[in-house]
Amino acid sequence: MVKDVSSQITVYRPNQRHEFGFFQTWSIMARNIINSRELIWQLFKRDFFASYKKSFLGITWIFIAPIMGIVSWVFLNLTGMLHPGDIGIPYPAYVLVGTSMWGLFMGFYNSANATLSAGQSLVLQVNYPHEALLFKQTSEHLANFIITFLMNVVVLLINGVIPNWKIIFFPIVMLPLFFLGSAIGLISSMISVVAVDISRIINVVMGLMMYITPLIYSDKVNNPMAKSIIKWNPLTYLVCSARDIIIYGKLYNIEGYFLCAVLSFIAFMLSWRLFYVSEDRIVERMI
Amino acid sequence: MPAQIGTKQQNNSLPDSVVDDVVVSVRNVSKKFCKNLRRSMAYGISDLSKNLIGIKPDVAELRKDEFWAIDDISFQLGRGEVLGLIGVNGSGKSTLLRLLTGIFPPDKGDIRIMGRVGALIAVGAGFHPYMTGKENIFLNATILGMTRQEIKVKFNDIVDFAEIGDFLDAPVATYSSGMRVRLGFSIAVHMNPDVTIVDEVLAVGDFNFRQKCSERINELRHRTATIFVSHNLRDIKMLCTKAIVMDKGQAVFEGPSFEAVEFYLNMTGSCAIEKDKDKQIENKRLNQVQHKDSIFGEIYHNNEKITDVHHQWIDEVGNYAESFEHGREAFIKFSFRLLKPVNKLVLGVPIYDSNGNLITGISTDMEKLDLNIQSEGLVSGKLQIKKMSLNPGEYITYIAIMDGKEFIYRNIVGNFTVREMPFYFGVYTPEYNWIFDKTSS
Repeated sequence: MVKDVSSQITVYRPNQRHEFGFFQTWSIMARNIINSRELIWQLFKRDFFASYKKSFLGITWIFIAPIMGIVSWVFLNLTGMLHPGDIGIPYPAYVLVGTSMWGLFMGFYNSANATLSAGQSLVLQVNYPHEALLFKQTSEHLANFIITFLMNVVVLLINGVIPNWKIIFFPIVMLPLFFLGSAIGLISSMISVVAVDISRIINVVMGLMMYITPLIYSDKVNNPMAKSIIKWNPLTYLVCSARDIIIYGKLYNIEGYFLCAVLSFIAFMLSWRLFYVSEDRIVERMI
Repeated sequence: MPAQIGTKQQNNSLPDSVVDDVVVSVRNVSKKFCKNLRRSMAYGISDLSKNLIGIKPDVAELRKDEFWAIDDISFQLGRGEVLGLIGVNGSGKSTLLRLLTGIFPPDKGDIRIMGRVGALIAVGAGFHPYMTGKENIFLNATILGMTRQEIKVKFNDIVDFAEIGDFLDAPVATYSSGMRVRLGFSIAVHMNPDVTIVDEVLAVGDFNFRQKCSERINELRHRTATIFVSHNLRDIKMLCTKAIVMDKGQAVFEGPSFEAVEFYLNMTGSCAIEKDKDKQIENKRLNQVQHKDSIFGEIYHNNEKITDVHHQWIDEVGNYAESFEHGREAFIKFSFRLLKPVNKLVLGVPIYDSNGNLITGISTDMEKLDLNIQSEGLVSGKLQIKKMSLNPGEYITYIAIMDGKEFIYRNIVGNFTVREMPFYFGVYTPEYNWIFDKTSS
């Protein structure tokens, strides 16, 4: 939809979205997001809070799941099943923060992946900028993450790990996770409408990626093949840097991180553009 | 003047620029869909891949299994005009509405809309059952494109119109379905759109609310251009200034709504889909399946007592007919074979309008016909309607064959239309004469 604000004429014609260049597309989408902030907020409220309305404990449920997580970690630690390695901090804390960063990344991916399906009934009934759904989904994920994250800090303290002060840079360090997760998710969101098989494969692969990222083990592996897979996996730099800024107050690998961050940003901008020019053709296949 | 449209020449004769009072301008718009689901997905992948490498997909050509769901439609609509869209299911009305609201992009032609579109298509879109009426008003109105400030200003009007009273702070899940529709409709009509799109919304709600909706649409129509889709031809005639009859994605007629309705009723193909339905029912009957899923009452077939049932509408000369002129003779021809003796045979023919309202019924019981058939075998005959007194419209007829009070057979005879009457009110015109005793000079 293209609006000429001065005369308020809306024009629809074939392949309209192809008429815009990359930069124009991004500015249109950014404007759409800004104009849709009330819509994003309303939908966020509906989906984040409304599901707890029926229960007596209400919003308390948001805290219960992370608390249960902590209890299990503390228990496992007490049993001595998780032995500290040569990683400088207790192993459980290392794994907990690492997997929680992985959860953050997968959450970005899943949120973007649900951009079209989350609004399926609405998408076919009302015309509104669908990119708003990406941000609504992502905000929902972030809200959940923040609560879990605060609980994780408690676990760190229990394990005697005091987070580094550089944790304040965390919101910036994690941005590439959003860019990369959303880039893959947005494309997968469209693929899931037209090619269910491919979308399932992407989902499985994304799940397996965790095991080639040094999160539940240290990166000091001996097997040369495993070593090189870890080295070429961009998530190693992005996810581990998000973890390390909290635990050690440093980036995992500065050059690797910045290179992957820039590439993630480019991937995000390209996939955003692809989403913009393609989604109307995809939506008509959702009936 | 009514115009038979669909030819390129006429469509191209539309002006290129949008004149001042034209709010909606649709020019040579076409939209294609794919009949085959897997192939449709394959085309989706191919289009997506082309986009990935920056190639524009060629949308103007049909690929294998694709068809034009909307084929070269053009019209213009000014403020104060109400356009009715008529057509059987599958003629492309809903697709056209989705193109107008921008949900689907056109494959050919262009659509220009001046100002805001208010679509009364999905009233209550996005309602959350656990959120209160108040919260849902904000949610739904935002989805429809209203700003927070606008919603605050109109909030009281919306609540008043919806008549939800004390339920404002109760979750929508506790509302009756009527209340939900009222709330959804109320939000939508308070958008103050420049173009209003109404799709069958009047078919829901109780009588009072339907009246209220009609009034509101009437009120709105002076300020907006309205596009109105309904199967209720009376609504089309009452509310619309002009109408388009659609058939297989094409506009086969455009003109004043009265003439469009007339054209639609006379269209030979208009019963095509219903005929298919009849055929399906007939096939199921032959397969001796009992099914009880009709809104016009249950369908019976007692295979032990009856077989070889045939029935159809015929005209004066005995030919199969599906439309009759008002005032002319019409017949239902029937035959069936009884497999057991029947003490009291009763035949009944109820006639419904297309909304499922029973209009009238004719039965052998009314005549006190004593039909005691003690031998099995063939029974055949005709029901003569001496003068078709129903007014123009679409009707559905059933035939019921009973043994006393027990149904041994009940099934659809077919749909028929009544046509050709210059002026009428309601559904029925009795035979009448005006007799004046005195007239002063």
